[in-house]
Amino acid sequence: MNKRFFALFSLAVLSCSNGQRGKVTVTFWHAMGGRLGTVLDSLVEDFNGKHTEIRIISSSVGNYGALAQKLMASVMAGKPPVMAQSYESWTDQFRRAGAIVPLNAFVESDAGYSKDEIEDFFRPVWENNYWGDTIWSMPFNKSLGVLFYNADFFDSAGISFPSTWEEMVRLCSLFPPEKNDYYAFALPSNTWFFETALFQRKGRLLDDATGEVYFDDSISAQLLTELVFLLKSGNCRLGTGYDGQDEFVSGNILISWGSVVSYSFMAKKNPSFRIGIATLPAPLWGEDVSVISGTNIVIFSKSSPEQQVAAWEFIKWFNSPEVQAAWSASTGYVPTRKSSLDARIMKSYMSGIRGLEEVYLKMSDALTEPKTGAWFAGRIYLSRSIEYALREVVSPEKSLRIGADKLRRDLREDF
Amino acid sequence: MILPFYWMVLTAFKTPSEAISVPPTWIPSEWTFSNFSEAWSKVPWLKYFFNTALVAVFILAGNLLTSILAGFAFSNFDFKGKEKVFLLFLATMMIPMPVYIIPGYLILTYLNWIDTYAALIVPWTVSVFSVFLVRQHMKTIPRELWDAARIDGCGKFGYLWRIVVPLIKPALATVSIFSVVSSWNSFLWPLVVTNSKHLRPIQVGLAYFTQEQSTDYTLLSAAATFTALPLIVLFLFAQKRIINSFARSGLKD
Repeated sequence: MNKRFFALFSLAVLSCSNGQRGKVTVTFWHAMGGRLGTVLDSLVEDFNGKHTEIRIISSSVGNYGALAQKLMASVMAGKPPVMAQSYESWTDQFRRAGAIVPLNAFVESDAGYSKDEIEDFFRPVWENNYWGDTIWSMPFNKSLGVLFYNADFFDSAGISFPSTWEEMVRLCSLFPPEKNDYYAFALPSNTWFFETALFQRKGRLLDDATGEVYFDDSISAQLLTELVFLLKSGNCRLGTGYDGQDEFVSGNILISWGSVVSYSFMAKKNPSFRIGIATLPAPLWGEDVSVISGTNIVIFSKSSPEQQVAAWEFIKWFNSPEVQAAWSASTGYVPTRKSSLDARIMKSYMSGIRGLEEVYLKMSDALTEPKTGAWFAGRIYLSRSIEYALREVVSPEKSLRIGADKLRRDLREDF
Repeated sequence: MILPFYWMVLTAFKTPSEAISVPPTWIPSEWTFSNFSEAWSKVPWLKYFFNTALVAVFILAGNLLTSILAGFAFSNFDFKGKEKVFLLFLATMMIPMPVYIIPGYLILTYLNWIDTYAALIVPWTVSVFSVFLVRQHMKTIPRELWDAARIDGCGKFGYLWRIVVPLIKPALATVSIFSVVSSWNSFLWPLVVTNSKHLRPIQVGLAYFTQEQSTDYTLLSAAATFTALPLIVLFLFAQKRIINSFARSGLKD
């Protein structure tokens, strides 16, 4: 669609809907619940107030599992919302089913983005929405897996936070739990953590193009073996999910893994120390990379052209540097735009948290998870493989092989 | 059994930092009453209570009606393939909820019931477990009662309502409790089949305090305390009947 035509078309459908049929209603399903949902709702209200011709109806499904089920069911029933949050693996399934619209026409139109604006997005956050030359989604809520540490403890002990994995392991051995009331590190049974450590060791999970599964290769097995050994040494304790965070806040752990978003939740529990944030240190011989997680927004093809234009209007507004700065400062999610970091509200937010700005600046070089639809299940297989190995139910090699073989079986249908 | 309740109520009075302290404290060192007011202010509880109660009452009525009628058919009528149909019925209990969410959604979409109270109520008005329980109790009633009723000119429905139903009251009390508890705890289904906040039940309200990134234990415990109260009261009233019902359900196949 050419740019001028698109601009005229957008103007026409919106003015037509405004004049003859009232507001264009856009249903938006998302998984933001609790405080995050409240922040999102207030932003949606702000948008609705500023755009009298559009009404975004935000509906929280509460969690990602329920959202996935609801979206799949609604697509099958032919009644999806106008737009929704979507992980890349879901987007892959939706685009294959023809359930969502490509966004190239919107991005390339006058109502889209200039080259400078596109470059203002953190590169992986932007590129992750592409399958080939087609952009199927736009960034929404993005976060990084990070380590939280007891900054006061490190300061008083005169120790700087480890800059390499080797230093991290050494630090754990310096503070054995039998001599202290705390563990140095809550080693998480967590896919995100494992992926980060694996990418730092130049390992791979899955090739989106060929469907080749790699997470049972020697690099992965060696990493998982190392983690099992670290647990066996007794200097770290196993943490599942985000439970390590609570022990961290209560002062029983010096370093804990979590999403960068977790900071605001931990701060609310009034820890008796200052919290520092850092990315997972890479091995000396590895690459200092982090892994981005989070969802994007897709527009469903069952919606009318008017609704699609209105949905794009919201998506573009939400991804503006100002709104991203407000969203990030209120929730802890990483802004999608680099220029958001220069906003006063962001400067103020980052200045209060040690290490946060450095973490955000690593977004440009961060990596992402596989986008293939099968990864939706593959991530669960990997999660189980990690947990079974860390709990010493099966050996790391066997555990990873079981998970990888399950994913290979699923992938046979796609490739 | 008391310990989880004790822990929930006490956590509701703790500060956020004390709630996650290790070792845990059995009595709050500082009693924090504001957790209740804060938890109450975050969620439209009255609306959620109303929705949950409304849905629970209608599901209960449906459950009682369908389980009495189906249980009576399976226990008193002889028809071809009765045992096989009953086994097939029981087999559906093994299907986990996520499997039938999508087919259920499709049916509700076809009926245009998505985002209505009907979507929350109608699919749950039949419970296989309730049918099973009621059928087992009905089978313990001596056949001679039916013969006597027939001699006195009583029809099948008259026999069911005047004689059988009063005799299986403990089973119906159990069905009622399970039905209400199940409705009270309903979470995933309402999230999937409704879009509007004004149709959501209390479990969705409780989820406000549990995020993927963290759980707000003190507010969650405060909210769980006041949302559990109606169920605890109900259980205390029906406790004796439930125990009677279980004691009788094993008397006869």
